[in-house]
Amino acid sequence: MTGRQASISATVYQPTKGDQLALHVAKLFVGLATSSLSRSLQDALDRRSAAKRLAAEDGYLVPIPGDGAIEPLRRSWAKAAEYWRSEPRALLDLTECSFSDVAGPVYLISKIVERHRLGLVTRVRLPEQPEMIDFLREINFLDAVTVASETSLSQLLTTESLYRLTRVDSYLKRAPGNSRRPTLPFNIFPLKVLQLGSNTRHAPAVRYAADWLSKHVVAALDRDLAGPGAQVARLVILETLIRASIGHDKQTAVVAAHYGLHRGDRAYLQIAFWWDGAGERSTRVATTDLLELVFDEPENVLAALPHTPMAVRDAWQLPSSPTVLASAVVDIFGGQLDTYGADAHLALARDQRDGTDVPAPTPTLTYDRSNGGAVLGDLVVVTLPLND
Amino acid sequence: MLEQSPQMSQTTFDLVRFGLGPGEEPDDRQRAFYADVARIVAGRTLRYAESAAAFHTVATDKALVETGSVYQPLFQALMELPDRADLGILDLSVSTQTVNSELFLRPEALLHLASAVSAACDTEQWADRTLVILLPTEQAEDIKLRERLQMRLTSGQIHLLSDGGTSSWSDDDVDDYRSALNRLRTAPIDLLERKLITRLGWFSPHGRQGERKVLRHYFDASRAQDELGHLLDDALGSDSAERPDLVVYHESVSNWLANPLKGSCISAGSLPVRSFSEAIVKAPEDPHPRSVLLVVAVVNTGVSLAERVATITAALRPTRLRILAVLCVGGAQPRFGRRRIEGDDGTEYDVEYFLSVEQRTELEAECRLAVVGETRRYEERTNALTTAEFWDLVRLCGVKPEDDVPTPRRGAYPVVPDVPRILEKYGNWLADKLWMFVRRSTSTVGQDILLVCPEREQGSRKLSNSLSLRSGAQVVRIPREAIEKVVDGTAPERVFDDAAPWCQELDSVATKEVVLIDEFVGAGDTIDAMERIALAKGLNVKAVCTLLDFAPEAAGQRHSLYGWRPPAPRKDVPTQRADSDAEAVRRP
Repeated sequence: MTGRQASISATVYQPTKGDQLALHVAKLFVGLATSSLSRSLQDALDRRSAAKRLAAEDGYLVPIPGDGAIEPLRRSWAKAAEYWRSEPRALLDLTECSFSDVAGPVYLISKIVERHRLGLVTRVRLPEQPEMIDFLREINFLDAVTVASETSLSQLLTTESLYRLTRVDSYLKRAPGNSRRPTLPFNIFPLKVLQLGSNTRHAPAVRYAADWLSKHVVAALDRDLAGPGAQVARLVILETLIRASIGHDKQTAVVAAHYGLHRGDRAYLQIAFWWDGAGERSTRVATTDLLELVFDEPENVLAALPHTPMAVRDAWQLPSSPTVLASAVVDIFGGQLDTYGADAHLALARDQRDGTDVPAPTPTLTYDRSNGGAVLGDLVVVTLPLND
Repeated sequence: MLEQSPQMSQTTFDLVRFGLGPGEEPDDRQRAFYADVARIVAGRTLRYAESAAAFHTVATDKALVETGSVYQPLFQALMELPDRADLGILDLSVSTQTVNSELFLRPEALLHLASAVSAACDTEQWADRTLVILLPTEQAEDIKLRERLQMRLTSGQIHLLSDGGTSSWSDDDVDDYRSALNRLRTAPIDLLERKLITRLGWFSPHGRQGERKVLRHYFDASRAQDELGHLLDDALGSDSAERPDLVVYHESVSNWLANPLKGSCISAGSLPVRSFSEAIVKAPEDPHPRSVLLVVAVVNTGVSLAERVATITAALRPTRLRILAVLCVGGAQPRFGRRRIEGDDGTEYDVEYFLSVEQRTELEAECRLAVVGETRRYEERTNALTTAEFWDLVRLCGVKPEDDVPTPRRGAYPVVPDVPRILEKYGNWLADKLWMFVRRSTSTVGQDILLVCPEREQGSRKLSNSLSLRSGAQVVRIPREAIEKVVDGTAPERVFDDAAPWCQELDSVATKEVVLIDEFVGAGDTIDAMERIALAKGLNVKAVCTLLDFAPEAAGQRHSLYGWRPPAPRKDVPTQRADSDAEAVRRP
């Protein structure tokens, strides 16, 4: 056990030119806002039937691609970054979007709240597919987005989407479940908006984590995860929420989980946390915040990142200890921890190259500078593999 | 066991007076449990020193974030263990409810706890003493914690015992400790009964509109899902003869059955489980189940259950069908009984049930207020009682003379609602409503909340017990004499007794915040006196809650489930005047 605890080690980074900019908040939104991009976006719009329905007052249109998982979403935002933070009116078009995880919808909320904080108007057009509206309802997306962005559905949705929403009750009448194997009821982990920080105390975080300690939840987690099920509540959920609260006086957080997310031929438990980073800490370098979630001594890790002079990096030893969260995700549950901030995406996982036969494969830390796919506050995605 | 055990000369033990949230004097069950623990570790019976040392506590909320804040109070508490105690017990166990949730001891906090323990054990005072630490299961297995205490664990100076029934010292202890834990723990059926909420209203059976009869009680076991899960675990049984091929559940009027049942099916080795409608629809595709267990939440008359049983039998054709109800109206046995129900065709079925409950049926015409509720997914909407709800409670539970007036300062009301009886029957429901209010006004974790209420001789303790069970908050009861003295004008400081448990408990509140509770406010004297006592202890009163308030106009910040100003009582008039002040009826 002790060997596994300390098994996080450095991997090779591939620094690119210009990485020196990485930590400067001022350069977070290195958009690709060239005229050629605008043209290509406009071309894309013309190709879409959705574009034809775009009312003039809805403003700048952000079409969301078919795959509403977190990574494709971030990529699509990289193109829209500059407009997103400046256009007075924008329409988020989910017409063709189909969601496959909860991190995607949580990311969408972060983007909508981002504009709300800047005083910009955003409207949302719901997906065309009834199943996707159904999914968004099931995960409580519509409630969560209105609470987090302090707006109402009638302000947020296009008239047409609002009208459709009133008619989709029939879609909810779905065929009874197909699996005879008892699984976790999905609706116990819908999107939830929590108030975190020292002003509100920690009862909301504790209450949320306590739901994960319910006997029936632990029974399922025990059966399906690589580690003890009760530790998800304590080492993953509560640790993340408490670490997110520390040093902030008040902030809004969204949490969601998806049990049985399919990727390839494996199923996963995905837990997504996002918090707005408002309050006292907003002036700090966001990457340090992210690293704090992962490592006890983030400064050491900073020294190791690609934009740091080579001499420092060579002398650098990996930090003595990853945080409880990081070692729980990677060592206990064999999962992956993704943290997204204003200027970085850190992924911590076991190195798959070692092969699955190796009992304690070396975890890898990857760092990529996100171009414009920046997240307001912090987004943390925990992905834990389920047993077959 | 080591050959030369240091425990041989030990004669007494005591508790380390450290805690998360306010300190609490152990009750009789806990005392017996600690004596068991001391006996298991020392190998013979030790005397409980029962020192009245001050509590050293830290607010749970603070310990979650500033994990280092546990160090100082714990070190101090360890150093103040009375000289005569040879063995100290540091209780951080969830089983004893000293810690409400295993979430409260974050891994970082455990390391600070270990540091304080190491530092104290280095002192001369602890040279010949043994320390037993009771921890939740996962915490006791924390590797970093064990590394820090390794030497002392090996030497036997420190013992770790966990809620899972494990011991760091010797496997011989394990069975003893497990049985001590079993004696301590409240049986799941007791907890189900104590956490079951019975709401009073008019509910149309199974959400069917147009029925002429309405049910008066809605049963909500959603606060007892874990306990229900334990009961279902036992019912599903590991015995292969009892083990069904398929579990089917029906919860037309409740939404608290499916999750615990699914959990128990998982624990029983992934038993297939279906909802009633799924089972019927999927019957042609599913493998034919020989043995089916049908679980329902509540059985009332048994008519609808008999219909369902007939449907299941026709669709699934099991060779064996067992029927289990969580709650059953009109069962002969209060618990774990059987009731026979009859179908339309005269077929009889035996229904096993966990708990017998009382239901009332009335004609819908009786319900003149037309407030027939949906029995389906009933949720508490307000944290107060409506006028109709309150008077309905009075109608059903009756009235009595007011018999526990604090001082003969004012005349007792000749007729007041029989609050103890209301609480006896509907206490959990009312406590749930009050808790909604308390939670809104404090946002503190339950572990940190101290509920202050008067010690009532005659009135029931039901409200504070229900609230405490619901929230995990601790209750301190202030003795009548102390309250009456303060009502009479004695300065609160003069009624304090530093050795009295209630004073110590008030002193131990690290957050300095308390919530005052009283079931009935006549003129507000009692609650005012409690508030003055709290203030004199340097505490902030975060909320004042009461069930029934006869002085609502003077309430200020007081929250009552129902407030109403009746005419002032007069000693010479035995009954209430007829021209009672109807205008004063107030809907909170």
